[in-house]
Amino acid sequence: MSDPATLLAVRDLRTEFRTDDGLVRAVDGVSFALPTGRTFALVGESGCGKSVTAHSILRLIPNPPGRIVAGRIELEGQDILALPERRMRRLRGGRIAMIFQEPQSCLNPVFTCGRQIGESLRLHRKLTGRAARQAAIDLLARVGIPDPARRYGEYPHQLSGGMKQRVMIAMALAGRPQLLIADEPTTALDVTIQAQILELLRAIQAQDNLTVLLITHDLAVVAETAHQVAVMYAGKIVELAATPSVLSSPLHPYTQGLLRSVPRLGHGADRLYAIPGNVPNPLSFPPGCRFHPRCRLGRDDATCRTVGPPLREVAGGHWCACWKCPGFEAGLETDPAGGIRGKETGIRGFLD
Amino acid sequence: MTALSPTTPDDLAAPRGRGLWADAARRLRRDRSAMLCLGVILLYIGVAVGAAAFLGGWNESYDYARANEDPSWDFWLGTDNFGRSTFQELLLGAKVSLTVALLTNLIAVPLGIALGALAGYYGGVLDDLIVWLLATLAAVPEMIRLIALRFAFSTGPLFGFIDMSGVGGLCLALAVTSWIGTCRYVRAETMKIRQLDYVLAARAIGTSGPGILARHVLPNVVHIGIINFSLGMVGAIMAEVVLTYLGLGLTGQPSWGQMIAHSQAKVVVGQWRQLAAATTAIFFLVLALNILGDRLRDALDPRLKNA
Repeated sequence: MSDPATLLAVRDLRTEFRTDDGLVRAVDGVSFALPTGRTFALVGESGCGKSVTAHSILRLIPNPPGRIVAGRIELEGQDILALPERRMRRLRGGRIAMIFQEPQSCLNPVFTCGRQIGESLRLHRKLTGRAARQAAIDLLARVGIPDPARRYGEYPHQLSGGMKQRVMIAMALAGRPQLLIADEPTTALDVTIQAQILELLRAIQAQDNLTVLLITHDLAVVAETAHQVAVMYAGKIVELAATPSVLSSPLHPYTQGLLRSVPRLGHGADRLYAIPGNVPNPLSFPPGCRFHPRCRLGRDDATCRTVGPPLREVAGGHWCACWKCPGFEAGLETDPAGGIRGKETGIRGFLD
Repeated sequence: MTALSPTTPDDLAAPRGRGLWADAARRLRRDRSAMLCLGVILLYIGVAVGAAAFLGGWNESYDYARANEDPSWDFWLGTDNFGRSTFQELLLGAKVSLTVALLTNLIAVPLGIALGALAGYYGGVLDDLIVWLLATLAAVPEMIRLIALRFAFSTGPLFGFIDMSGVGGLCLALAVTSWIGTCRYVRAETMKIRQLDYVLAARAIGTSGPGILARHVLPNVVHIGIINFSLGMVGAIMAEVVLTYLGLGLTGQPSWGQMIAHSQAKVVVGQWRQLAAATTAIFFLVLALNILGDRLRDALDPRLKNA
């Protein structure tokens, strides 16, 4: 598989929230690269920082309390964290679009669907009046909404959840984006609708050569749609590789645990496996490897308890952050975001 | 949630594409007490317009021979010290009350919505400033505030064309104090709306701050303005009466406040008709406005829907 050019690179992103209880390092040094035209999945439990990562890319972190304190987010080489707000606005919905978890609450109840799509058309394609109406109807048709001309004039409460998510996708596509960030796009939907929405996303991606950053906690969704996966735990990426290698030969104990806890037909286990323990409190992450209190390998290991493992490339294109993972000693601290900044991040990883 | 609420055949037959406003209008049309109150208010407005058109000569209709008469077929509510018809004065008084009520709220409600939305959406220093202004004004007892502003605004023409001693000045004085309630309410609502997913979604497609205020915040707080307009008219009518009673209102034209002020000396000698007529007129107008405001709230406030 030849590597396509990188569209977006996230380098050592750190996003913090100042809360009344203390500082929450929601994203703590995350790096990855999105190849053009591919789907990249960010997987993890609730609160692992995957949504914050997505919101950071669009600079939608509410400030206060949140703040991006370090890192670079490069869209075709340009650091968008340094852009003035006015240029950032043109980027949002223009080159980078986003769809959200709850289609029910992401559409303004007082406007028709058509008008809400029209807002994006007006902002990014300068379309108004009849041209905007026609473009919006075309978009509705494209996302598979039957009778789009009628649906154009309907209000969100007249649509089903799956329909609303289609409208959200139409809104996202209205600005002809290069990158689509899908933040748990199917979580709030029925299973049958989930499959349809994923199929729609896949079709659109193929037609437009769209790059997709898929945020999910659902490994089944990953298996179906993503080319590459990064697994996040407690604000850090613990494993990053092509989807088949992660699913067939996971290296990190956390990824292994996640995969074991997926119910499977035909494997008649009495009880479903669950990773012991809970997600750590983001106000006080455990020292050393943040997963060690829940890890069957590292629970009693002196290194795991005191020193956080850096993310190392243990095989070609397969990164893992675990002292116990095979080949870790020999692994190189290359940067998953590409380029030659690996050494620097490696040192920082050691100091954590 | 919608599936659980009982549906009537009428709901099922509801036309497609019914928006929030159409829905609220339909609720109101079905609401008999709201329609009755609206009728009463329209009647008052009709009386005010009609009286101003046909009874213009009342002020000079002196007839000392028939001063202080009791009710008769000629004078349904008797006459005043100058022999003028009290009934005609009552009808003419509607104009001042309604003008003041409408004009005051036309200034106060948009001001309250604008400041409330700005404070709630942008927060920070702007919010601090607006809240400070609001809290300062609200800390002064209402009557003292009104009297002080009335004096402050009665110093000759403003901008050369608003006659500050007349209706303009009075309404400005009332408006400066009555935007507070609307502002507080809109600010709180805006702070809530700002956090909603659809505002985030709008930001994610590149909508600017003013764009979000105009297209997502304002349409969702306008109902507060409408409700407060109706209820604010009550406050303005009452305040006008009190100011006039204290001699700080409008002079030289018939108003309910003046009727009450003039009847002060008469009630002592047993002539209560002017007082009763003016207070009854105020009572029904205020009642209608209050009930309408309440029904508007029911029809427009999304939280009270299906309740």
